[in-house]
Amino acid sequence: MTEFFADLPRFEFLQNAVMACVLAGLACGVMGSYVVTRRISSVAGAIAHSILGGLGAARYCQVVLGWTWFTPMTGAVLMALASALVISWVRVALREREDTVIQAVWAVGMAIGLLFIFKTPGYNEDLMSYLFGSILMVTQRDLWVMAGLDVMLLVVCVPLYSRMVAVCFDEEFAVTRGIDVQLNHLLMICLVALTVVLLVSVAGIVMVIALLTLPAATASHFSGRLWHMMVLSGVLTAVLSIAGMAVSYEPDLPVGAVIIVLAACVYILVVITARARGIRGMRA
Amino acid sequence: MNTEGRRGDDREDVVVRLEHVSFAYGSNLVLEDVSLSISRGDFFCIVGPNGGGKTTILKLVLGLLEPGSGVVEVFGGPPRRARARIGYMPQHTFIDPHFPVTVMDVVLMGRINAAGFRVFHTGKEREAAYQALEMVEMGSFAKRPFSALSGGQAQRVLLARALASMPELLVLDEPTANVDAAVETGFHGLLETLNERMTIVLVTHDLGFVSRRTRSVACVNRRLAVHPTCEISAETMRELYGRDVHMVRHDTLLEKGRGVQACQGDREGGGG
Repeated sequence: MTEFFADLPRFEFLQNAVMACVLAGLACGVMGSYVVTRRISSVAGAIAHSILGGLGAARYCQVVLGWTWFTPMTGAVLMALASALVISWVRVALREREDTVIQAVWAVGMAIGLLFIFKTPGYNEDLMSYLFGSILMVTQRDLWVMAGLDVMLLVVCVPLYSRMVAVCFDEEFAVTRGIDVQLNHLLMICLVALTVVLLVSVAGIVMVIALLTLPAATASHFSGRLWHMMVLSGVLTAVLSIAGMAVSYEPDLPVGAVIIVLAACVYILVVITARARGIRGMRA
Repeated sequence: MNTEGRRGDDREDVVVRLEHVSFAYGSNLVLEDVSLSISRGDFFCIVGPNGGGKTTILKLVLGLLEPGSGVVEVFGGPPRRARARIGYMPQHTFIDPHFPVTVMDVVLMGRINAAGFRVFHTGKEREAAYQALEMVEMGSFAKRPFSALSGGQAQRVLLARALASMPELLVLDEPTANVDAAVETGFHGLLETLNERMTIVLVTHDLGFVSRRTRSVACVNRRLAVHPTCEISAETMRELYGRDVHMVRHDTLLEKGRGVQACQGDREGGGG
């Protein structure tokens, strides 16, 4: 841990990684709170996993077809938005069983990714970093993209705050107030999709969902209002991610996994103490 | 209440009008050829067994559902256009009790359309929301978290949210589900006071509903029968529920030739 903080001023890649944690924390705090209160974590999970399809396709196009402009980030954004649209469209238009479609998007996205990766010569290491994160390899350019996504998220979410809270709290009532709930839901899922893309570099496809929900769920125990929850879980995400990096640095552990385990420990601790306090409160 | 529907002159006074409305969820016919009209100032109760279509009528009136056939009009137009004039209180059992909002936040949701896309609510909106809270005697709870309220208090807050837009028509779905009898009585008193200012439509599955102000009761079980409150009898209940029910009269009042009874229906197990 001390070695991490000693090396931090010396290495640019560590500074980039810390910056990435902060930028990811911002998006995570805002959208994670919506995901938890609106109970759409399975949607977020499906979008996260489907991203592998976009990453795989982009890598294939770059290496085999020579489309250099088609970066994995572009592929991930396109795939995430496509999955978001499919899930929302199925909910609204087809009235299919939503959970079935969610799981299908999850698996089909991964299958497409696997097929492309299988046909792309010599990039098995990429697969590992997609799946489990590669925060220590974040570049300056990645940071600008993340910052851009953060700004966009704030520009959309701040004016829509009270509407989104109303939709999360009581969808039906929101309709009677003239809010277009379908549009609102679609927008929210697209923003979740973009947030997931942004978080993939921190925690990887497989663990993104925990980073999105655990800090928010932890924060909900201390928050009386949704924006309190957003601020608190944002700070918590950034702190947990940096702590995870620090802890994993010396023993050379996978960073994403350490971050998730830390987040889970904090969450469990909070739940248990809240529970214990609740029981004591009842006895008193 | 005026069962004849359209009658030229007093159309202005008809707040809600359903004409030959049918509605089905898929192939499951929930409402069949339902016609009713609700006049300004009415206190209109809709009762019936679970799955009988009570809530569906409310959702048609609110414009949350479109009728399969027939016409639904609210304030003389389609329900969607009347939304600003309707206050809606849903069943509070559908709301996440741990949601992080304050009481004031919840009530302000009733004024969202007026607030547009502004980030902060204006003092005027807060004032309106606070007045709505005062109306339900919850003014001192404005800053409390919604999750800390008791069932009865939460219900009052949801009523305040419906009142925050100063509606002319108040629509309530099972407002006293899951609260104890004392809370229920208080709630009825509150609705009676509000009825002096606005038309009220209320759905309930429990028959201990009829307050002194209730003028008409619509009994829904796919089809609809409207009774003046004085005519509710064991016979009506049997028709409605398809089996015998106990009638426990706990409040009888005769007023200007209009008999009003409050009845407690208690279904006898296995009857049919």
